[in-house]
Amino acid sequence: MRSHEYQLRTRDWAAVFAPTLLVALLILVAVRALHTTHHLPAPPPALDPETTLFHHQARAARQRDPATIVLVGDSTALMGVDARQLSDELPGQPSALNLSLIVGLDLPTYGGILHTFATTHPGQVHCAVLLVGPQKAALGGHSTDEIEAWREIDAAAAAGRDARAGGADWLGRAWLRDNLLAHLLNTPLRLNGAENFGFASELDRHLTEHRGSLVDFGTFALPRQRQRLPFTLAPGLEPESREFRALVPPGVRLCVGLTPGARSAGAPGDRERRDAVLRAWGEWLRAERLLTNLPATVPDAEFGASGHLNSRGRAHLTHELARELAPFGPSVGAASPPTP
Amino acid sequence: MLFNSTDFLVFFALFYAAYAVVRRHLAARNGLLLLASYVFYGWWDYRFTALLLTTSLMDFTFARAIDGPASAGRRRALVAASVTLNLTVLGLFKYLNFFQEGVAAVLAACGREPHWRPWAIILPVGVSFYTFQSISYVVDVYRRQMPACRNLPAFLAYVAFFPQLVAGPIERGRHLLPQFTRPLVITRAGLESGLWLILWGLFKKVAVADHLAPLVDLVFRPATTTGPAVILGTVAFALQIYGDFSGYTDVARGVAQCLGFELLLNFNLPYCATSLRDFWNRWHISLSTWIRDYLYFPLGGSRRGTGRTYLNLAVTMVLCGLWHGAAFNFVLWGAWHAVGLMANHYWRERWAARWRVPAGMGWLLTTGFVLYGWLLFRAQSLEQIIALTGALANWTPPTWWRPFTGNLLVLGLPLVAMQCWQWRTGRLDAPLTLGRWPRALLQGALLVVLIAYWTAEASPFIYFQF
Repeated sequence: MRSHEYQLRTRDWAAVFAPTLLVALLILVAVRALHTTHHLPAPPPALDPETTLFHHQARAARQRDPATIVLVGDSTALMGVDARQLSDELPGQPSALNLSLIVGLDLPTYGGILHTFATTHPGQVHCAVLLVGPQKAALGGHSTDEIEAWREIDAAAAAGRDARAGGADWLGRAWLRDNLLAHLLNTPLRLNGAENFGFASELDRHLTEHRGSLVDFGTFALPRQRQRLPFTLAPGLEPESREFRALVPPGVRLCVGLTPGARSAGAPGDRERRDAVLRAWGEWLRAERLLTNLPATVPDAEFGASGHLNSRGRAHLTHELARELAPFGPSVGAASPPTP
Repeated sequence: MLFNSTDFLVFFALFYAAYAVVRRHLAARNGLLLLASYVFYGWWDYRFTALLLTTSLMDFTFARAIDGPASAGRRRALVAASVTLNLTVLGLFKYLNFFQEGVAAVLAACGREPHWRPWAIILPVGVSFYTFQSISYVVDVYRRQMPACRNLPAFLAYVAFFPQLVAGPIERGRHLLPQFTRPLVITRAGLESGLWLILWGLFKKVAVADHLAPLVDLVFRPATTTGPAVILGTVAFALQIYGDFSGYTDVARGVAQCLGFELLLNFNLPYCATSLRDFWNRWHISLSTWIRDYLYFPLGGSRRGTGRTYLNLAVTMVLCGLWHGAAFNFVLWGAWHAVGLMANHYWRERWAARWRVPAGMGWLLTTGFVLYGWLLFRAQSLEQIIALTGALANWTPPTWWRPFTGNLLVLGLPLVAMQCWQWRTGRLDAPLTLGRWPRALLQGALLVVLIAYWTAEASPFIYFQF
């Protein structure tokens, strides 16, 4: 018995499929033409919180900005200092910008972003504040992958393009997705931080509005295995510190500090140990000022879920930092600084 | 194999070429369909093709015996045996883990430890669908609504027919099986309709549902949330599950049409329903009619008094919930709909004649009811249901409500616009009424979006887990 019969001629097959394929082809060709003539819009900030942060900070380091105080460091500085509050609390309200990144990067990377900002704004920066967590100082170390990711994004920003604007397959799928359709759909964050901001665009907007500072919205939970705060200095940081110093432009005063740990992880004598670390590190960095009046520990209630300070803790640390920097005068860094 | 994977595109291209070659031989076509369907199913886990083959052979044999000159008692015993065996297979693979966990929880509550190690049983994809399809066939033969199939390859191909094997529509033997035993005709209209259904179905899955999924995940997770977030997340899930499941069905129907087959309609503008009864006439139609015909009616339906009607509604809807998976949230979802249908029934019996509810009000009430049902369906635990329900009292908008709403509008717009178009024209194939070039523009745009979002790692359809 016959199975099935095609009641179609060749031109019927063409009539069913050809118009649709032709329209799709024309759209793809048009997108390719837009790309070739540089008329495709740039992709919006997207991806995970870390990459969104990298994109933002790489961009912020190159944009026109009135900042005279620049904060750099790991995520404890990113989420531990509110740049706007710092400006408000300093005499003369000098502008501050937080260009801190994450712990997986190294000191030369932190120095690099400071250098980028200073060279983009010659003679403007008077004071650079380097802050890292006690763990970073004690363990040093960095992630090669994260440094590679940062370098790629930073290099793309330096060239005035987006890191994702380059390659696309022969169909131009990346251009369609990232340069066109991504403008219609905000990218939801999938990793840590998703619960706070929901979308990459919101995280980017928050960073811009808060002069590069972030905050942990969560509540502190004691880690199961409590470890004492490691107030020591990793020997591996010495070459990194010297490299960092070389990237600090002349005329910029460098202030160095450690962000506080949770009081429940503290021990008697923490402050003295912390100060000793700072003194040793300050020598490697040839820092103009050591921020020894910052608290070595703060109450657990001032920490958020991710181990960073929450908004209360951040306000506290920022206030203490403003007090430390205040003696520098109305234009921070312009007045004669105290010696370490 | 997933419809939204490159594997399937290659598979279907090769299959379609071979399908044209065998057009003169019905037996060869069924053989090819059978082979392709088992390859399609075995692509996921080849071991379960043995299960599919065993249950198919079992039902083929039972149906032949039931259709023979046996006594009424023997026929009854045979159909009972077939249904029991099918349900045992389903229960073993789908509900044993649930049962083990339940027993362990009860023992733990009594302060005792279970003395056995729970079996880790993999759920075969689509087992609920093809089991129900087989049961309906055997029961239809028993009820003399159709003769038993005597063509084994045709029957095996019917049970394993790859377009609808893993997520339906749950076909009735008397609708689909005859199509395996007679010549089919492939026309230009059928191809045009098939192409449209495939493109629109894939668009709903790849472009809409898969982009709604991370929005839904943002709300349905163990974290504190607020009322507006829960509402936005639930609306997003309602659109996601519709896009995902009806997308699968559209592709299944479109692929079948390209082969000359006709599958049952599974969705008929469900979110246009103006009552809960209406909703169940429009949502997953092949399951709701299956439950009506093989469970609700045999229990007595609404013919045995009010109390028994409510009991029957409760039993069928709870079992309908449980069909979706062995979890308490599905049971709750079924119970929620049972309560809604009871209220609907009560209203129709007592008040509908005196007080007519405006269609807009009916739509609003139905949609609200269905949406809360989706919250129960999507939640991962009882604790989460309680937390999300409690959060409805907190009207603080989440920080991300603007981009979330923006995404929801962008992703929901195509679905809503299409439903409005279909509703206004009264035709589910409204796009096919367009002229050649407007339709090509629409289909070409869908194709480009599909090209953009096509990924090497296709995300599975939600209903695959059922």
